[in-house]
Amino acid sequence: MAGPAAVSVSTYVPAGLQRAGVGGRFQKPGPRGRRAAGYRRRRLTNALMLALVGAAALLCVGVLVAVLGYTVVQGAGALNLAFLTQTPKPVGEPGGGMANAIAGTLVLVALGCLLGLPVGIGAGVYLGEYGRTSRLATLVRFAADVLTGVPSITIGLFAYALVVLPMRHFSALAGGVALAIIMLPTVTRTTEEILHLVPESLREAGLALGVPRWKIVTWITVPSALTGITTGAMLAVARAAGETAPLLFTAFGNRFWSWDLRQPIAALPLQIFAYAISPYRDWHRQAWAGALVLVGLVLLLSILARVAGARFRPAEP
Amino acid sequence: MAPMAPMAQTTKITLPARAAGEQRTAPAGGAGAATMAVEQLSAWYGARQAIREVSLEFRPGLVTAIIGPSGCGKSTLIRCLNRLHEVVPGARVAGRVRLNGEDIYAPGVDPVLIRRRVGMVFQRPNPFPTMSIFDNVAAGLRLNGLARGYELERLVERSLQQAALWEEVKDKLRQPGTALSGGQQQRLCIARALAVEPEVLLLDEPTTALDPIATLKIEELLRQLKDDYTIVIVTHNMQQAARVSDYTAFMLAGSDRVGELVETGPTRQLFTTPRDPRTEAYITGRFG
Repeated sequence: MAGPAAVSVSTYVPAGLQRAGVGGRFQKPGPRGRRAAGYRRRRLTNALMLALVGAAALLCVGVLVAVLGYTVVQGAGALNLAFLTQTPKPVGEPGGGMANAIAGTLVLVALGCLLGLPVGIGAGVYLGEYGRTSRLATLVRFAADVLTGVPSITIGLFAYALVVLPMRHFSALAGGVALAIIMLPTVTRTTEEILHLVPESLREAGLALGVPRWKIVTWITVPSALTGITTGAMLAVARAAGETAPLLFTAFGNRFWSWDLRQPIAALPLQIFAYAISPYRDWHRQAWAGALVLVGLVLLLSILARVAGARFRPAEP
Repeated sequence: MAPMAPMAQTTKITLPARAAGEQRTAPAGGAGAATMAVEQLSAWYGARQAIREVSLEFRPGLVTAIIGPSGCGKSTLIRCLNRLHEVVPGARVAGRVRLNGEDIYAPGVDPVLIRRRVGMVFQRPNPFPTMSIFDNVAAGLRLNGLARGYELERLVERSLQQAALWEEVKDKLRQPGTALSGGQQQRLCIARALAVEPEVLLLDEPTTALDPIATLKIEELLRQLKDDYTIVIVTHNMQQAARVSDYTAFMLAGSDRVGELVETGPTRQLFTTPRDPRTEAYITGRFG
C-alpha cells in the first residue's frame, strides 16, 4: 500500500485511547497541552519506581555478594591444608588449624539429625496423614510455628537445663539436643507440606487393595514424598549447622580432638567466636578462614537442597 | 468416546451381534466369585445426599454395568461397595450392602478386610510411582503378607497374564510402573487388583482416560475375566455398556440432585425395550 492510506495506518490511535493519553508521540496535542503533561509525569513516575525497586533488589543481592566476597577475600589467605588438618596451637605459636572444629560441627549436626529428624518427620507425617482436622494437629502446627521463632539462645538454655545440669558436664550430646530442637519445626512443616502434595489417587489405590492405613503411609505415601522430605531435612541441617548461640553452653567448645559424646566438643561457630574476640591477628585470620569453611558448608547444603527439590517432585501417576 | 449412532430421536443404541449363548442372563460363576447385593442404600457427603434407597444385585460370572448421566451417583454407589465412600470426611451410609449374604456395614466389620475381597480399578491409572512393574503387582500381596519369594513371583506372573499384560512386560518387570503407556498402566492396575484374588472387581469408568484401542483391549479383558469374578463397571459410555455387560442398571439424579436407580435388567432388554420412559429418553440421546 502506498500513499496517504499507509501514512494514516502508522499514526492511527483509536479515539478512546487518544483521550486516555496513550500513544506518546502520536498523540494530538490537547487545547492547553494538558494531556501531554499528564502522560509525561506518569512515565517519569514509572521510571522512578522501577529504579527504586531495582535498587532494592540490587541491594539485596549486593549484601549477599558483599558478605560472601568479603569472607572469601579475608579467609582464602589463611585457608590451607594445615588449617584443615591441625588442631589449634597454643597462644603465640603460629599455625594450627580448626580440624577438630570442622569435625565437631559434623558430629553435632549428625547428632542433631539423629535426634531431630525422626521426631520431626514423624510429627510431619502425623500432621499430613492423620491430623488434617483434629485439635491435636492444630496444636502441633501452632507449636511448630512458634518454635521457629524462639531465639536460638533460649533453646540453648533449655538444652542446658535439660542435659548439661543433670550430666554435670558440657557435652556433644547436649549440643546435639539443642540443634535437634532447632531443626524440629522446619522438618515438621516441610514434611507436612510435601505429604499434602502426594496425590490422593495413590492412597486410594492402596486402600482399594485392602492395605491398612499405616502401611499405606509407610510403604506408599512416604516413599513417594521421600525426595521432598529429604529437601526439608537438608534445609533444616543447613540452618542448624550455622547456629552458634545454642552451642555456647551445651557443646561449649574444645581445643582438642574429642570423640566422646559426653565431653565438650569443638564446633566451627564456637571456634570462630573465640578467635574473633581474641587480640591476636593470626587468630583473626584463622577466624576468617573458619567462617569461609562454615559459609561454604551451609551454602553447599542449601544449594543441594534446592537442586534436589527442583528436580524431583512426587511423580504424577 | 461418543456413541457411534447419531443422536436422533428414534435411534437406539446398536447392540453388537452376539452368538446366542454369549450374553448371559444366568450366572456362570467361578469358585471364587461372590454375590453382592445392595439393599435400600443411601449415601451422604456431609449434609448433601448423593444416592437414595438403591437396591441392586451383582451376580458372579456376570458383568453388571451402571450407566447414567454425570452426577447421578454412579461413582458414589460403586464406592459404597468396597467401603471407600466412608474415607471422605463427613461421609455416611444407610442401608445394607451384602457380600455373600453378610452385611459389610455391620458394626465390628473391618473395612480393610472387605477391601481385600472387593477390589477396585479407578478412572485414571494410578500405579505406584516409586515401584517397578513387578513391585506394583506384588504390592497388595507383600503389604498384606500374603505371599513371598517364589510364590510371589508366580502370583505376579499369573496376575499379569490374567490382565493380558504379561507378554508385553515380561522382559521389563524391573522398570518403573509409570514407564508404560496409559492403556498398559490401566491393565497394570487391573493386574494389581487381581493379584490379591478378590471376589468382586469394581471398575469406575476404567477406560474414560484411554484411547479407543486401549479401551477395546480392556473390554476384551473384561469378557475373559467375568468367568472368575463378579464384575461391576461404571461407565458413562452407553456403547461400552452394550458391548461389555450382561446386566445394566440405569441411574438418574432427580430435581433434588439425589441419585436414584431407575431401571435394571438384562442389557439386551434394557437397550431394546426399556420399561421406564426416562431410560428410553437417556439411551436415545434426548439428554445426558
